[in-house]
Amino acid sequence: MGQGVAQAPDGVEQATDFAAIDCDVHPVFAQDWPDELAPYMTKEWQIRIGGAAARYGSSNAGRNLPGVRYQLPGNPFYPKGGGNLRLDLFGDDGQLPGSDPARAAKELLDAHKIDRAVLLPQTVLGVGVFPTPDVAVTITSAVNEWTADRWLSSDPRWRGTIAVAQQDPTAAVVEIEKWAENDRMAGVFISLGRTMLGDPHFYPIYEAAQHHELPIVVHPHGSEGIYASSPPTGGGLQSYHLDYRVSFQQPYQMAVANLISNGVLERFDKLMFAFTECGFGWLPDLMWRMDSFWKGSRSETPWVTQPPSEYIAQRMRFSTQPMIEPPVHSQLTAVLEMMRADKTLMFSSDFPHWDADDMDQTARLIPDSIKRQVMVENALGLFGSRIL
Amino acid sequence: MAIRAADGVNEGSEAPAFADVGDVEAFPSGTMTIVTAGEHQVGIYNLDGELIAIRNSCPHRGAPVCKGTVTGAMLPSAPGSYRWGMEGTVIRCPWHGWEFDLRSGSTLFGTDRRRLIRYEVAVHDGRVFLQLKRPRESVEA
Repeated sequence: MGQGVAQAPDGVEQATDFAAIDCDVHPVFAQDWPDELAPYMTKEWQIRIGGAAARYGSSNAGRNLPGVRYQLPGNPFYPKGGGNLRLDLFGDDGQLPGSDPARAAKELLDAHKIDRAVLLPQTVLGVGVFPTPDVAVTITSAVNEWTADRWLSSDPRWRGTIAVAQQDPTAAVVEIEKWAENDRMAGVFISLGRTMLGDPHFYPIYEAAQHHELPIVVHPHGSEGIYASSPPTGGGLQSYHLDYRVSFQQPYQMAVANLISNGVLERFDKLMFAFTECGFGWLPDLMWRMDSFWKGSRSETPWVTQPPSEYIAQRMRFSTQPMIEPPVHSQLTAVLEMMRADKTLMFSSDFPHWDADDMDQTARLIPDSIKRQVMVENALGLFGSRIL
Repeated sequence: MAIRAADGVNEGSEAPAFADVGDVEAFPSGTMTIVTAGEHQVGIYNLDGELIAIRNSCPHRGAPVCKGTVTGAMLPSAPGSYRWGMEGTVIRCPWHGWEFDLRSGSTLFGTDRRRLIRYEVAVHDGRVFLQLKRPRESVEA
């Protein structure tokens, strides 16, 4: 048990000249989401979800009438002024940042010498909170087609993630099987709902992902703690963007602990997990506390045969953005050492969000002794040959 | 083990090498008795006739570990399943729940070098003796 330490895949030497792998980039829809996804849905689903062409029948085409329109779960209460996109990247014609794959390749990949970037379409980050499973299944399926059609075809450096609807594990497995042979799809994206990741509900998804050597990727969606179907945040409701910003990582901290306690990493002894944009400064405390309590409560979870921090070091990965900014640089170095960043940390930019990290600055902040691991090798170990 | 006769105990001005902790009949099978030996309290366990002596101080946080429950343990198992074993040979500390193998003194979780402090036990002429100055090879890591 517990031997599933990911190794860099065969052919890793091909990647030795990589400067960076960005594991968290957000393609943005150029239009309202039902319209953007309409080409990837049946007529029936276009009507049901409310795309413009099908909204009211041909007689109202082109008229901006109200009508049925699903809202995607997001962050309705605690927005940051100015939205979540970089204002400096808006086109003169109003084009949204990150909505044009060729332009994004220039602004992100070319400008910062990033060799591979893993895409997590921002519009569907919260689809796991959607209360209606068949809608979530349809949206994720359409988004995957959109990712392949619009982004993967535009530049060989983009890598997709297979978005699945956690509400319907059976359909999620079908979706994984549909895309698994596409080696440009580098992981399985699960949008977290109320069910914690350690729950047997997810095991069919994990089985399929492990079979195809795809890691599970999660990312906050902004609706944590907001809806009855959201993963709850600690303590209670947030008040402002300021306290909201430190609340949405909480369900993912719990997910780390929950995966370990439920023995998921023993049941699926090759499966790896990436926690993107979930922060990492909290990790040393969680590792130490879990190790400590594991010693005293081992009998209840005898399948947890290694210290929890070992499962984390071997099988879980965290992303750099948003980089913490302690007042003294040596404090960052200390945190990186404590969290075993040489194994657990991967570079990410969060492009094109306003709180994105600059790649060059991130690279400077990472000590030379672990820079290569953080910028390239840990992502290689996680995503395997699909990232090459 | 080699043990000097009881009349050698407490001989001279140096700290005694052995402590006479009582008549062997005072430690019946299936019991734990706390005695004072030298400067420490020691729990004497009789596991089916085998006498085991451990210092009443948990190597983790100093709890009176001998006040903990003697029990078995859940052995490493597949997720969602349980396997019980080591019945009567495990002590669970009353404070943080660390489980120790009474016979080896080691933790069951196995990643900590600290162990229970054990004493060699000898029975001589119906009396139970604890060796207070332990041979070097049994000194804790």
